[in-house]
Amino acid sequence: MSTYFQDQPKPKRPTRVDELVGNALLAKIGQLDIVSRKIFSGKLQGERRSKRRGQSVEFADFRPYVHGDDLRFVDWNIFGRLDRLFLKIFLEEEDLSLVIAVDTSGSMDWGDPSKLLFAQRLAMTLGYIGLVNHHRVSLAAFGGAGGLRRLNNLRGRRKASEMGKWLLDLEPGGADTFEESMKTLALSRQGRGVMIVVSDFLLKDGYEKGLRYVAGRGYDLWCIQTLCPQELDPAAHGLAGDYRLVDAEDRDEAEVTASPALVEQYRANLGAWCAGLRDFAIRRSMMHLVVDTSTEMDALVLEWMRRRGLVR
Amino acid sequence: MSPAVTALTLLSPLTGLLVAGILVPLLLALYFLKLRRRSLPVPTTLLWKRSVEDMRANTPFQRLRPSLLLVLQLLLLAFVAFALMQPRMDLGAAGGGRTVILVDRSGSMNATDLDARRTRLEIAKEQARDRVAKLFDVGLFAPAPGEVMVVAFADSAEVLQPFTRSKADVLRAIDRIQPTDGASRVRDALALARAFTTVTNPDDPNAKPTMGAALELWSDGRIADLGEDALRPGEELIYRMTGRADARNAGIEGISAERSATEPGLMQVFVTLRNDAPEPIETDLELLVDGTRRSVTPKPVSIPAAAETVAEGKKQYRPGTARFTFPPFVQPRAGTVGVQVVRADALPADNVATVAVSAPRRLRVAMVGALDFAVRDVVAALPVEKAVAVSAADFAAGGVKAAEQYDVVVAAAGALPDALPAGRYLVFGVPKGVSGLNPFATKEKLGVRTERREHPLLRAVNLDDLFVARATAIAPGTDTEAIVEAGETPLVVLARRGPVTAVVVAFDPLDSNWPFQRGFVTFMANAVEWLGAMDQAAAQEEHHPGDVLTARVATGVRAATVTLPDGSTQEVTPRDGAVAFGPVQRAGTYAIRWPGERGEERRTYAVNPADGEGRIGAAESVSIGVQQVSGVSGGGAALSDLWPWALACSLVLLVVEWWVYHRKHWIRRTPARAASALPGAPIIRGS
Repeated sequence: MSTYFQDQPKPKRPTRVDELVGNALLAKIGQLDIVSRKIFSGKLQGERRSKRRGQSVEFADFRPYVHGDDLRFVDWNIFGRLDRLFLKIFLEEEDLSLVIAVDTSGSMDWGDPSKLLFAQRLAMTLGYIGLVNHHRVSLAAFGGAGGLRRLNNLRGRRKASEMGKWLLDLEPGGADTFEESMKTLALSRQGRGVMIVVSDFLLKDGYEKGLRYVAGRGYDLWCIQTLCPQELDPAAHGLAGDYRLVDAEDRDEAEVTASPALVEQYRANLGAWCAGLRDFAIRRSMMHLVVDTSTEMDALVLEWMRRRGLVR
Repeated sequence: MSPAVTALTLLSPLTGLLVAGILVPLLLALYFLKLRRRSLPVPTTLLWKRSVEDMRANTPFQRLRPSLLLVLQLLLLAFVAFALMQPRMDLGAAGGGRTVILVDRSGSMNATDLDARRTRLEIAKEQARDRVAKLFDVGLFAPAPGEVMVVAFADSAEVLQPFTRSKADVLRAIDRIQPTDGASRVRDALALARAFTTVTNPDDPNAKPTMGAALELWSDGRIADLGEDALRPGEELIYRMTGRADARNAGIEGISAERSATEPGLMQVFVTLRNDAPEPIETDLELLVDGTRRSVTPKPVSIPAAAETVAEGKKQYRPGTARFTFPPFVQPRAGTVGVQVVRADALPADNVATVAVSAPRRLRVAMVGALDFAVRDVVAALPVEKAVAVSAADFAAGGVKAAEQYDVVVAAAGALPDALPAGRYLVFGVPKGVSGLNPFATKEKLGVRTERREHPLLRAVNLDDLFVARATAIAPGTDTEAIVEAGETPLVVLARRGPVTAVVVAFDPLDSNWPFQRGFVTFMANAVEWLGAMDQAAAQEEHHPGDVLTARVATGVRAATVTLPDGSTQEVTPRDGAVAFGPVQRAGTYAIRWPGERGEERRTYAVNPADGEGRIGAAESVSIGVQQVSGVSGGGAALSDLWPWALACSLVLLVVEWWVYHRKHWIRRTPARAASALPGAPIIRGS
């Protein structure tokens, strides 16, 4: 049974990168790659197919030669047979921009396992996949004590350590700045790619405005909603009786008598909240996942995310 | 502080303290548990507030779900409401305090409206016995029996058993209650009961007496003087209604018989009939002479219905009455004359009324001393057997025998000896032989200020114009009856000193204008007739239960025999030339016999039921002071307050309710639900 409701000390936070993602998991995810449902043009030649036709070895199509085309791509065999000039078009392989935005607001520093810890581990795992596939990985932390913090343009496996330390340094707390952070991220976009927002999305001002900034602006957007078991089923984790609930972010208080009926109503409201986010995501071609923080990272990445198409 | 508060008695303070000592801290502890909210940080209060609002913002009516808490709370409220109703129930509980059993044994309690074979009194006694049995039952609700006292009352009250804890003594006392035909007067009974219930602390002379008793009254509620009394602090009156409210009765209210003044052998009987039914009735009447039917009314006599009228905001009950006069009949002997209503009803006792009549006899009057002409002439003109002038010396020399020769002695005060022989005197002036008159001066120019018009001496006598020039001022004692009074001194007094009865006129008639008024003649006739009739069993004096029957006997008579209506006899001893028996309890014909010079002498008395007892419809409530007490049927009820028990049950329910409430919220060690954390959603769900 979870003991979070029993006023016990919070679990110790990780201090080393390998506590975020273990070697065994690294070995498993080394073969994975981030999949974008859209094909974007990159800035550098990379290992990813680009929308632009280019110089890769992957044949895409033919087209008639027009004046000015590079004669190196003329298919001479066809010229020999048909006496007409056709140009071979190849898919150009480019790098992918992967942006991982982690919610570090006060509400994330709660639960057993902690939602923030889970978000850090998830960001580390996905970021590592991006790095090993030579994608341009950017990290952002919003809602924390220092406002929006960013770590931009990491490439290559060697940057994994830097990324891990940056994640370890994230301090939770502070008010919700979701809308402002999303706006900033959208305006400072560098290239197109995949954006993953890891948050509990329990935002009093709502998530809609913030997500609208980043939806459809060159990002294949994934909303990963992390909820801890205590949030998902409070009664099973000892929430019963009379409480004065204190909001972790704004210290707002709510006096409740956690009767079975009230807890059931809470669960219904939580379900409705998640369903609302899912509907919002579907309407804007976003992906939405509700993840229990007690879920093993192996199972999440190797099974669920692969099944959902984020990685392959 | 009101007297009621000072009289507050805690019957079981230890029980109350014990219950309070256990339940109050428990309740407070539960309240503390309830009120102390634990502070708990949560990621967001957004969903919780929304949930609370959803719970509150639901429609005012929702489907009622079965809930143990709801049942417990409903039960609790039901018990509280039950307690507020102050329920009482027959639980066989003894009061633990003092109980006075007051049993009405008046004439109306002889009615047989409840049971044709048993009177109300017999039923009341049975109920009282049942009640006593329950009062002395020791059970859960009666930790200790209290004390019980038995008082029976009619005209007068009698303590049959002072306060006792002996059940057998109380039952024996109830069995000793005998019926009477007297009137209902409870004042003496209440005074007696209070005399026993008032407990003073002999160690503390300044302490107020503590009182308190439950007065349980078995009666039909027709008690004349109950409203004049009031309950005192600590007293409680429980009226056990005995009888039916719609019981109806008709009977004889009054009877009188008179001989004709011209033909003493002829007698006329007058009766007043009474009807207590709401509809008029007709009945035949029988005339009985010495118990034998002499005649019957030729046609039924009609008696109007009883009615209740409202006067000055108060209901007044008026029974239907009718008067009937039987034609004169010849009755040359002494005996009893009665009238019977030929109609069966619930109270047979008042269907017969009897008077005793003496043999026709004219009075013998002696005029002693130098009486003035006005007196002499009037006495000589009265229809008496003989009016003889006797000198003072002869009267004094004759002594007792001289007085016994005459029925009435009319005398001047100065002619009478200092020691008056037994007899009846009409004296002008203040005689020395009558003690207690206390002459002290002579007053002049006196007029009449007050007079007792209802007295037989003043029947048809008008004293408005009487002027007395000179009279002897007297200061009569308390045992002397003033008939006519001037402002400063009585003018006519009635003095009874054992066998001597004297009407004293404190002035010489010639010192007033009285001889010239018609009232003087009437007064003289009234005085001679009234004094002379005192020795006769004439019908003019009607007896009722509670009266003492007296007869004047010759000195030297040692014993007399009283024959009661049921035929039994009792021996009584004459004192000072008179026989007294009573007070009599039952109606009927009584006879006193004693040996005389000419053989056995006999005097007959007719005792008729008391007035007012003919109304036998039981009152559904009685008023004592300003308090109205409703009657309760049956006598076995031992009413106990149930509200403390209801309150205790509600407190227990409250504790159980709290326990159930908190038990629902105790933290149970149930396995956390890993799957289906959200309603209808897998652990990972996405679009």
